[in-house]
Amino acid sequence: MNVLTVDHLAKSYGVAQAVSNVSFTIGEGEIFALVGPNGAGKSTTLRMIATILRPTAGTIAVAGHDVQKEAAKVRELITYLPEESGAYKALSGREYLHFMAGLYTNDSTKRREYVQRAEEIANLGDKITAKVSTYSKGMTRKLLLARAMMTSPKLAILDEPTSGLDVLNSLDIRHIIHDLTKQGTAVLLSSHNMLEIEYLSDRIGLIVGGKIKETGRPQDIKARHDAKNLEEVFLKVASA
Amino acid sequence: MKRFWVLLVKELRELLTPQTIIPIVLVVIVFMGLGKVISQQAKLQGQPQPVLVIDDDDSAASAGVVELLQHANLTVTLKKQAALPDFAQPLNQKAVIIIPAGFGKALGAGQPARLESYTIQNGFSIARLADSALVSGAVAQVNAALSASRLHQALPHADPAATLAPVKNNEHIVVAGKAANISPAKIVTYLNSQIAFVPVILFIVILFAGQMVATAMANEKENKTLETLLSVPISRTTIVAAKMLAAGIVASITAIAYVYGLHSIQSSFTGSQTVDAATTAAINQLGLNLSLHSYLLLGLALFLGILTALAIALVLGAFADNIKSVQSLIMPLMVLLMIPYLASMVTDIQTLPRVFQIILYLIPFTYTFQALPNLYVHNDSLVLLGSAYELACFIGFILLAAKLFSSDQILTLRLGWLIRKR
Repeated sequence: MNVLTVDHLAKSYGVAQAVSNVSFTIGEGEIFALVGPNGAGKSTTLRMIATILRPTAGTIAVAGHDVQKEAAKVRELITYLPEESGAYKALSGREYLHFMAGLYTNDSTKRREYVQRAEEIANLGDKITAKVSTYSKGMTRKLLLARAMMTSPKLAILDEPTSGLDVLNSLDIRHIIHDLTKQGTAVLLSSHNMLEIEYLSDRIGLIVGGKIKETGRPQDIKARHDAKNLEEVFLKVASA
Repeated sequence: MKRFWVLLVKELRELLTPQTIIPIVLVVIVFMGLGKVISQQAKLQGQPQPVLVIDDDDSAASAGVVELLQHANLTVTLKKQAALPDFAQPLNQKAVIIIPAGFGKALGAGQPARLESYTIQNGFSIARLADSALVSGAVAQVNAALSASRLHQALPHADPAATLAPVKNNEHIVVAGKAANISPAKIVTYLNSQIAFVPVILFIVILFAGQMVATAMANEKENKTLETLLSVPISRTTIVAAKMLAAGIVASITAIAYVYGLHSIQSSFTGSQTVDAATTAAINQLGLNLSLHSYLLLGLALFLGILTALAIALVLGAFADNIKSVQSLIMPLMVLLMIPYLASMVTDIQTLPRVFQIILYLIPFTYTFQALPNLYVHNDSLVLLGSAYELACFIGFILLAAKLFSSDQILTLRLGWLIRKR
């Protein structure tokens, strides 16, 4: 059964069409990446799946639940990491995780479990008790990723998870994402970084001008376009 | 419900930072300190004030005037036939009074006898206001004593007081259909002392509550936490309610601090003035004491005023890009508060032209500002009607806020967008 089914999805802001006729699916434990330039409609698509924006047309189902009709149920099953996101600066890393865990469960034992798992994923050491305002960008991103993964969601939606991070932090985050799919979590991510996409994704969707031009496994798409890497593929698709 | 508390605690932690707590504590400390200073000043004003009297006349009449001045709460330093002191040099006197040569002669001839006085005004604050009237007050007492003495000499069997003021006015006051035998000025002064600071506190509390909730919204956007919050399994209504309640709690803490601080200042003004038995009896007779029922109605009007401000601020806060934009966004709320605030301070709404009355009564906060004066005159129905209107406004704005939060607009609305729309 597909964890995510996106069918003929569209979103417009007045006369501007941000997303048009987008369809794809993601299976359990699969990593699917939306690849495209700035303004291609990646973040808008992710936001609609995360129940934050309402689609103009089309349907989205998470584990069989319609995102619009059963938004509350869908929010129990997903976690979302926006591209530009932060944590509450007045809280420490641990307090932030406690707060977020408290929004997912009323059970204090489960809450502790979530926080423990998140602390393991974030791997921030003693800094977990320090105020978030003292964190570097990489540390904050790891904390947020850990928050997104702590509930072992059915679907994790990660918008540019390594955006603005150095090589070491990016590698750490890629490993975290990879490890989590082993527990069955499906991951939908967006990125500009073609190398990262090639390394991480099981399948990709090339999105340009709000439309998905092509979907498939990275190696299949490369072979189809007789390209050495995804950047070459992307240039061909975007200019076509 | 548990998730609501989790959110509420987070909101309170965000709002109750050292940056918000320190000013609140400082307000209490500064106001209490100010109260003590004013109280000391009032005590000093009540003590006999030092004046220098230069008696150039050196007559029996001038000696009599000096004695009368000493009875007019002045500590007199007397110099005979001395030169005017150099005012450029420090002089530990509040005033210099000169009794010129020929003063006694003019007084004996029944002509106006002139004094020369120099009031040394060392400041222009309210506390120094009494200094300006020090000499004229003392001279009025001297005149009253001399007039009584002359009358006694001319009409030995007449009562000087009855001759000087032949008509006596037995004053009554009527409030809300009830009459009492007392000077209206006494009752008005008493009521003013009871309600003078209330509009100030209402203004601060309501504005502060509004600012808090708009800041909470701006914080979410500036810290990039809003999108995450909107994607968690918690209803938008719960998010809105937690933000409003947290802002309401912080505003209430601020209100208590301001009430305590302002009470210290008010006590310093009125501390020495005890309400006499006649005034107390008249207050009871007029029913000008607030009952528990009145306090409940006042609480309701204040509560609904705060809720309405929070709901308006939540809608305005949806346009905030960052903390800086909150000040601009909160401006409409400030105007809505300022108009009834100033109106309640300087005028009686009933006496205003109809168009201004309509404008004022359309503003929900007018009913909060008018609640206490209305309760004193037992106009409970107007307070209840006002509360019902405030409730309707609150429901309207909270529905608008809920609509914004459950739509895309909570992410897409910006102050810039609003300006461009204009």
